[in-house]
Amino acid sequence: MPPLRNTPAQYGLVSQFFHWAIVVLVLFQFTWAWRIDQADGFRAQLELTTQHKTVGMLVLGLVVLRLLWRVFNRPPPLPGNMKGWEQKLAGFTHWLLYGLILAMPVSGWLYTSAAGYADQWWGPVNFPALIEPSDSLQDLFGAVHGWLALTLGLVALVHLLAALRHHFLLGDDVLKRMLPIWKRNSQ
Amino acid sequence: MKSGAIAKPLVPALMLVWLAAIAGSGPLVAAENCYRADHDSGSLEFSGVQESSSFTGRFESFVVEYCMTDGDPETGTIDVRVETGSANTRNRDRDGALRQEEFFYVDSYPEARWTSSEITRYGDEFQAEGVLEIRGIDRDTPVSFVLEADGDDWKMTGGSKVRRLDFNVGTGDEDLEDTEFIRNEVEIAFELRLAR
Ligand code: HEM
Ligand code: HEM
Repeated sequence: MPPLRNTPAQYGLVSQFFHWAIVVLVLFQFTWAWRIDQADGFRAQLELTTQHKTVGMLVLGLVVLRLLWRVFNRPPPLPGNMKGWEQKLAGFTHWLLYGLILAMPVSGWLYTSAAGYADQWWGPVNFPALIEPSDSLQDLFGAVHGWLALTLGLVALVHLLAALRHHFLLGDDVLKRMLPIWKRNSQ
Repeated sequence: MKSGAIAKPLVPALMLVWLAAIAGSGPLVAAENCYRADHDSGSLEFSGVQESSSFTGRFESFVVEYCMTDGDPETGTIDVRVETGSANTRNRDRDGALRQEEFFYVDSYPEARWTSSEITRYGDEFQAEGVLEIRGIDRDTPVSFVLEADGDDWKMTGGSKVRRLDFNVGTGDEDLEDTEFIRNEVEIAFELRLAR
């Protein structure tokens, strides 16, 4: 198993945990958004939406912790044989992904607040409304939330393809170092 | 012609006016006064629980009329008319749903009404028996309130409890009828400034 902290050669377990937990939860979010759309009946929709909101807030918490962890635990440098623009593009994409997984829950929270549903959460957990209910803001943040989701989907797809390219076409360690497989430190 | 010829028949008429004036303001003759309040001078709120989250809404359009004799609230009758379509819970989906056939069915029953029968004082509080009509269904519904004189006006605060299913509010679908999903009890609270 990799160490907890990042090393120059690979991501540590904590960074990996954050990465993959958020991937799984984001997939859950898309699946739930689809299920909300499919569900018939107000009650089924309300229950699924409540779950979607609660898991979305969990993502928000994880992203904040992840970024804090990143401040004190720098990621391993990209392979030196990557061209300058490739490294820049990778860096840019990663920041875009961070921005999107932060903006997704915030826009969802604003959306729910504007719709007057802020007090509807899972179980005993209650989050305050960020803004006063408003029809126009409800429409606005609903659209923003949807467009951000689409953007996140596309950028994550590019990111996935890039990871696969590194692994299968370039044959480097970029994908492996984000996976919890044992790697010798000598590399 | 002397002016007295015109003035003479006026005397009895003037006396009548004068008598009427005493009768109107006099303390010995019973007088009914009606006080009125509406959405601009008060609030009428309802609150319930949906999926274990509570919500509160208000009616944006209603009129309350309280007519009493000699300023004695116990002699009075109260009449409340509420536009059901004016329910506002600050949530577009829910407000839309409330207007539908499953809930208030505003198209067929635009008005809810409560009329008091007997009003009794218990210490500082009043208890009014009465009938509430929602969706054309009548149910005995007592209301309790306190009154506070304020100049010529009354400040009236109070409330009641109703069971929505008694009035078929939230029916036509087993989820809506499930009181685990939408609680049966709905609390009503009002704060009014009744003025003549
Ligand atoms: C990583 C976090 C999140 C992701 C990836 C995500 C994704 C999505 C997607 C793809 C949709 C469907 C968009 C559409 O139909 O246009 C959606 C809808 C929605 N999201 Fe999120 N979301 C996230 C977090 C949140 C949060 C935190 C909240 C609220 C606090 C929220 C509230 C909603 C609501 C209310 C809807 C509309 C559901 C409906 O159709 O009635 N989302 N979300
Ligand atoms: C919701 C989807 C995803 C998001 C939001 C996301 C986000 C991120 C972010 C922000 C980083 C940069 C980490 C850092 O250096 O601080 C990263 C790295 C990485 N991601 Fe993802 N990711 C997603 C999905 C995936 C998927 C599906 C794969 C692989 C199949 C993948 C593979 C990787 C790999 C290999 C790295 C490490 C790149 C490196 O070595 O620098 N990611 N991801």
